[in-house]
Amino acid sequence: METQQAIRQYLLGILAQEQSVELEERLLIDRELYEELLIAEDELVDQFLSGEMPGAERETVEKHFLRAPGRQEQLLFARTLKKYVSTNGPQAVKNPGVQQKTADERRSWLSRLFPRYPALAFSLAGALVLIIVGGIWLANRISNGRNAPQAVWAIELTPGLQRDVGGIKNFAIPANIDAVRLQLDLPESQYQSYEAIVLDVDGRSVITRKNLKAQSVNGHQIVPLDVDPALLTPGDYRVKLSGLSASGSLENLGSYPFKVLKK
Amino acid sequence: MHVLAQCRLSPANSMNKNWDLTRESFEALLAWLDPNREVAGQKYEDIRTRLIKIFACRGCYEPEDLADETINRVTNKLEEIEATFIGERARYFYGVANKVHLEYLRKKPAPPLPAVTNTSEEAERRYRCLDLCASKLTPENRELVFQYYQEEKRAKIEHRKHLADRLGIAVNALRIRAHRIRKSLQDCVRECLEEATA
Repeated sequence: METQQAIRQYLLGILAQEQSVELEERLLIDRELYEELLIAEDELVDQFLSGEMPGAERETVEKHFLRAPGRQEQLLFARTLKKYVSTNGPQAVKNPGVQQKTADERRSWLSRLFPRYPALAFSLAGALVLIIVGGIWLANRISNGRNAPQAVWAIELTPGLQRDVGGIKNFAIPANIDAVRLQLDLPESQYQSYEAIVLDVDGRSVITRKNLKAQSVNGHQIVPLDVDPALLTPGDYRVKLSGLSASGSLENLGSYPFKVLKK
Repeated sequence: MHVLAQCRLSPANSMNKNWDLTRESFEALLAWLDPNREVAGQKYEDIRTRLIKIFACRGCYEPEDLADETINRVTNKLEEIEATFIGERARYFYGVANKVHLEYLRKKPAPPLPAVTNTSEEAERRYRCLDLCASKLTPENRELVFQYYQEEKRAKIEHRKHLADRLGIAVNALRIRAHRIRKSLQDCVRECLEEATA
């Protein structure tokens, strides 16, 4: 356990110099210790992603651990694995069972309503489904025509690497799009709503959006923030994200840096 | 032996460009590491992999180049040290690695690595690769990955204890087993992504 703790501290960059030297020397000759280091890396990444980490340690991970070469790749893999397991693993197997039960319950409900005329029950149910689907389609169409952009280009932003130039997401905004969707990565969704402010390099507010809701995309939580591409001229920006707590106070959740490149 | 193919005989970005690691000097290095060539090849790979990891943990942007530079310098010193050096060869590499690191710190910092992009298309591609790679696992390993990584926080600890009990192994043995499968998946996904972009 002491070794595991030392390795964790080493990965976080907080192990004393003398112990670091000793550990590194052992890493070169001890296969088991080296494997323990690789395991500890995976565990740190998993804990970071699931939000299981105390705030101070989280900051150390962002400032030190994730800056090392290859670690962002590990982070992306861990996120994909998390999604994959939640989609295909035992919990996902449980959910279809729940859905099946609900469908059975619905059938029972229909049978109770029309015990002697099952064909009529299914016809009515079919008509009802058509009405609901049609209604949703119509509502979406109206809504899209009024508010939603026709072409949205999405890019995911990761928090906490604002001090690391290597971690800043650089991108050029493609032509002929109506909105840039900044997908602000969340370790976990725990707030009722979110507020996001896009700030330029001088700290001036470019856009502020309130009442944003978290969504699940590719198995992890994000806050989508749609921005008019015309507002994002080439340069450095950061998104300041805050969460609205149950008590009504805004809590700072971090900064999401990005750079818009020339087309 | 595949180690020869992997060895960078002429490191393009080496800090010291005055000489190259020739096949003869590489053979001499292997002979110094172990009389058995197979064992020596494995030792070479282990040392290089771990040097890369150490440089990466120290936050160096080009850990592979620094590891190769370290190996080159050790190889260059072989004539001087092979008759007198006693003990674990890897320790000598560590001493040289520290010097290489100091020089690296004194130099102008290398440009940072480009940020790893993760657009929704890339995330989707990564997911498809993982799906493909997971399908290549044995049913037992696939089940183990799903079971091991399913819960979070406190429930995860309890769940893993139960899983280890069920498999009749210690929790730490389960941890190692899960890590090895995960690593094989990660390697497979990396190759799959490289093939997709090639």
